[in-house]
Amino acid sequence: MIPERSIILPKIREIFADRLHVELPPDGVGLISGGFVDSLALVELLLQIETEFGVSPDFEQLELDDFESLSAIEQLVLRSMPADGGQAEVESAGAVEG
Amino acid sequence: MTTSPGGRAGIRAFDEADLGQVARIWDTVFRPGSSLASRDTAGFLRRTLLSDPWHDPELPSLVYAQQDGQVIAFLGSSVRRMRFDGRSIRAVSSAHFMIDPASSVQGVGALLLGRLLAGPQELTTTDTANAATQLLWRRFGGRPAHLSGVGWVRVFRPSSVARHVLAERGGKARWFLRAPATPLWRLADVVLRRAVDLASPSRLQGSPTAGSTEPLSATAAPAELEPVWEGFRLRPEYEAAHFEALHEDLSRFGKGVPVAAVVRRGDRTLGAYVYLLEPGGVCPVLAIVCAEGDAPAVVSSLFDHASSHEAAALVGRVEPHAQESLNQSGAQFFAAEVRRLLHSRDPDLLATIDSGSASMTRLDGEWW
Repeated sequence: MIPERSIILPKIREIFADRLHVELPPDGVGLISGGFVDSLALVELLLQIETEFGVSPDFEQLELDDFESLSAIEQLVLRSMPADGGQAEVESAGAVEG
Repeated sequence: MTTSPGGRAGIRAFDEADLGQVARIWDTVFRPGSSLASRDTAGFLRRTLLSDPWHDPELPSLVYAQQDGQVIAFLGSSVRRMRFDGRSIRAVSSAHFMIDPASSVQGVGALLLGRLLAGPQELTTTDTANAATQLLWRRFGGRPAHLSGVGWVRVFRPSSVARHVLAERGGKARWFLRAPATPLWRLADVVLRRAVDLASPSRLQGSPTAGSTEPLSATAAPAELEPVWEGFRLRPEYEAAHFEALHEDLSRFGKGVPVAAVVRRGDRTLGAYVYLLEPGGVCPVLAIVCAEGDAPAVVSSLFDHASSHEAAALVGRVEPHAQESLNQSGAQFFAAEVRRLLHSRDPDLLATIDSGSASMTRLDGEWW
């Protein structure tokens, strides 16, 4: 079962604001190509994704495009979920933040 | 900015076709502060990363190439076979981590390092990480090896060291340096050396128990060192071909003549050392291999060899089993600029290195 997008995207926005302290660019400007996410921020983002969603993206499959936009990051989280869709972890993550 | 092999941008294994581009970036990023004697960067990278006897296709060096094939980032993987509690493991020495300064693409370094650290090797190390790389390593769970942040120096010819330092700085001091053989310099060395020796406890107490010293051949090295390595939980697993390759690399690319010697007492091997000899120069020690109890004889032999072959000083990184002997022999300790960083999914492996039960020298990583 695919988790609700509404749970993941707000959490990603929150990570950018509270943990990475990165101001998101306007629509149409890429996070990577626009220079908003460097290597240190990218590693921190991956650690936060692991913490918040309980998933560890496979480095063999990672591409810079996976971090180019919030929706791309959301897709990365979704495809990193275990076979059951990771429903429990995602719901849990949403519940923590109310 | 799509990613994957086959004409698209992304990470892939470094191969022969990339040598020219990677060498160009290396010369831009590392050449100014390099200690390599040779300017054949492509040959150096080919030899140490592609055609060395440790080369392992499962643990390749990595490049990040753009869609047009241009390489903009590189991370070297120098593989070493080691033995941990009797079983063979693979270690990767990560080196030459660089992004083309002309590139503005962000995030590539994290993907390269993340890919490397996620590989099937049991241990990953790096010896020359700058501040930014250290931060990245730490975020990925890497951490410094204890004691690796401590360097040591043993001065034999103080005035030569002073000249060496001044020569490196260049400038107006150069005229002053062109008289290396004058009686004044030699007199200064005699006086200063006596002062240094008087400050050395071992000189006051007499030399450590001596052993006999002979050159260490690549062919004989595995058998010679095996009884010494047996005392360590983690140690290299080298065959003669590995020693031959190291000797060839040091001879070809190192700044100085490689000296490898074994120290024995009777039939027993006490240990061995490797350093790069440059008469009048500050010579890097790449390995001191011995049990702690035999370190006095091995360190003494090393110092005697270097001193009698006109080395101005020896400089090295503290190896736990030799620390006390270095101290007793008049070496001075200092905070090293960079520390060895470690990454492993096996906490016991990391604890073994921290406890001093590992024989890991600069030869098992970035010797350059």
